[in-house]
Amino acid sequence: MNSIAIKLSNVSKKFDLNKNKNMSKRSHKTNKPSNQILALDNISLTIEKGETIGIIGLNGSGKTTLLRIISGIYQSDSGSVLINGNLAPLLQIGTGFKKELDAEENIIINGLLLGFSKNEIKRKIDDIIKFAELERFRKLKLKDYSTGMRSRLAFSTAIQINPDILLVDEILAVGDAVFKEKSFEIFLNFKKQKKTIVYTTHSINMISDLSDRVILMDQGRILKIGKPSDVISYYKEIIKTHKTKSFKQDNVRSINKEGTNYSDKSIKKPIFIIGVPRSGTTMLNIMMCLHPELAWFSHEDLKLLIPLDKQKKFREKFLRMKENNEKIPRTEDSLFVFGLDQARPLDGTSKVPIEAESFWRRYIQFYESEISSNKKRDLKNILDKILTTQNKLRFVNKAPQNTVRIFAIKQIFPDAKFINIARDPRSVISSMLTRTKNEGEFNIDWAIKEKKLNFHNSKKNNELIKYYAQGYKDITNYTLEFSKQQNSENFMTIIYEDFISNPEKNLKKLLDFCELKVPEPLSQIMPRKMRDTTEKWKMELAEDDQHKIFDIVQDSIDKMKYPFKL
Amino acid sequence: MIKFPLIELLDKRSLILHFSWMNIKLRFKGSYLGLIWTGLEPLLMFLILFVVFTSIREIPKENFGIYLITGVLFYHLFSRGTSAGLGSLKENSSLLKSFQIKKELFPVIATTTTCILLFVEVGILFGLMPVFDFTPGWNILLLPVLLILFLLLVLGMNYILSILYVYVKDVKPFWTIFIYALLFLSPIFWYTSEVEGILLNIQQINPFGQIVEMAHKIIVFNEIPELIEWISTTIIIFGILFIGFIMFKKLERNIVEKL
Repeated sequence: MNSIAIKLSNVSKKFDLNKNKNMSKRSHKTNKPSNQILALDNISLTIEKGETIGIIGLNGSGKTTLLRIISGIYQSDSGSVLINGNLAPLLQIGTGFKKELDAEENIIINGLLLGFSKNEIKRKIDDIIKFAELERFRKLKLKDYSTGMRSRLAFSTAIQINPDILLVDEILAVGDAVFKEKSFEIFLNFKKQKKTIVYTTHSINMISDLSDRVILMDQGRILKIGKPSDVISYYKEIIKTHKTKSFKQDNVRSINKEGTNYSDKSIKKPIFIIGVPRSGTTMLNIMMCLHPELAWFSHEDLKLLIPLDKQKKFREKFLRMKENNEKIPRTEDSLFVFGLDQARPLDGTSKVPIEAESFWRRYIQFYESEISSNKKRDLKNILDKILTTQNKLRFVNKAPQNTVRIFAIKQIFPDAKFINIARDPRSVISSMLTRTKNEGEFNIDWAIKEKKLNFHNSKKNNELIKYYAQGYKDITNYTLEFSKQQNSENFMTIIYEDFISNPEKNLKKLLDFCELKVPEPLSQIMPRKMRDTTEKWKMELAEDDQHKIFDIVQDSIDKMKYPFKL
Repeated sequence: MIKFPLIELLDKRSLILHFSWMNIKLRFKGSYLGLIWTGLEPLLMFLILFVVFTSIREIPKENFGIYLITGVLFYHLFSRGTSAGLGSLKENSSLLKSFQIKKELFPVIATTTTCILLFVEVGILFGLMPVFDFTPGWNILLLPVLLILFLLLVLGMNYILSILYVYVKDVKPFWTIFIYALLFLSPIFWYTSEVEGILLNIQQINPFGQIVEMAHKIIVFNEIPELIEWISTTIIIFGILFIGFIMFKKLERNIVEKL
């Protein structure tokens, strides 16, 4: 216990979006109680004494809120915060100073607020001003200071006070090179003295040089925590995807400005793309997302589609089976359980249980905190918010787990449209067997080497193929059963092979089914790269090696009397 | 657990005093007369009222000058003290956002600032006595008790106003008007014996008016206010203080986000 400096357990923090009246202009349209944003979402974190922790994340990811919660300036809505030792927060440049007063007086105020006596501070004033290199300006009012000077003063004051824990928010970004160097040394000195530092920054160099551990935050959650090199490479990925996403959205917005005027802001005919994994659901989703009338959102949010009591039932059952080391059968219910998982139901034998477990742990935490705080999130509100911020009426969603919860989706959105994409099981299974880490490509050589497959000896692979084939069958049966209850207005099946043989024509058919306008030109939602890729896939289908696997797969499927005609 | 007001803040007294003194320095910083304004403000206000009232009507009673300055000084302190208290959280939002501080400090600091001003203004009162050829009686020794009650009233109001102002901006214009009305609704330039009806009814429930009335008795008329007056005023003031403190503690939790 004594080695812990900071411990957060299940800390959440919400903010009202319309806290001042000016903003209500924007939110009056929705008129829903959903004008809250979850700035911190169930954060649990332990920081040891002497650790230096860097926090990175895009703007608005919750970094500053986290520091403010740790420093006690904000109070969390739920969860607990434990601090061991005295703490100096350096948050936001220039706040914490009275602009009408000079440096000396401000140091006294800061010192008093940090809990020191006047005499102690007075003794330190000279050192503080000297370290900040502000001797010439000690009688100058703070309002005449530059941002850099202010942050130097704040930093000097905080470190002279010699805290056990130092919280620094972006403050070093504005100092000049000389001062940065000096602060860097101070940081290292602090580290030597076994003091704890938690800081946020956008400087990736700094974070990798200084931190023992790095926390990556996104949308109020800790996305990743660990060694600087691991987290930073992950962060870079996020920046990349974020760029393309916002680019996509900018395009969409500019198209949307012309002539679309929605009076009724409620969700209409949402589109769900379903299908066995590796059937081309992602490909379809990318194209649909680019359509100007459709909003896009992460499939994570759809977890909330499942009624709470059902979740609980599944959860209990799942945990009981895990405890008894039972093999989880591929019944409808277990499909549901696996479907909730981010791992796909079909995807490999070893991966599913491990990820499912860790996922469930998070899932349970999330819901327990939600239930106990009596603030159940309403899915429709979330969707409303997404649609409002993207200025859309409809959305498209694709998630591997959707396929195994179509009945639930249908209940919540009676007017939903389902696009079921079906693909030759031989292709699907081949893709499963040979896909590389880089999704969407398959490489037989790689698979033979890494997955230890042996296509010249079909026996060895039979078991795996059977496993995948069973999954294909389960999911397809499930979909078939569902499709029997639907009509042609809300359920459509397209064949993958068909689709890529003539993507333009098929996409138009699809848009027609979805009651969406066909954008002019169609290439707006059919990126060049996508066309190239479909060409590539077409070619790959024709390759000899591919046929070899097909034959093996075909062989296995025949042996188990696979019911589907190819 | 809500602790009794002020006890928690005892160890912060050097901070409170520093901030109070800083507030006074800051208010008149940059003006030519500087700190002299602390005394000059109520004096000029008194002069205006004195000239106006003595010229529109005959001096109603003996020692009207002392009667008026007593009321004006209390009024000036109350209006200054509460309007500083009202903005105390909002004006220090930058500090509240940067440090973990007891939010309660700020209405308390506004009150201690009033306390410092109070010493200055009591000095003015005694300084003016020879000018009006007035000698106070022994009952003036009760004044400190009255001043403590007055400061507790200011503190109670500051708790209420400061926290409400964070949530509702309309509090400020409302309070400005209310303070203005208080000048007429309290026995500052009129005598309670002169009025009846609604004005008297208001006076009976107006703790500020009660304090001014008692101050007049102690200072001007050399009387001891009746026990019932002490009791009722004390009850009202402690009621306000108690309600203010509870309200503050209940509402303070998430104010930093609102600032």
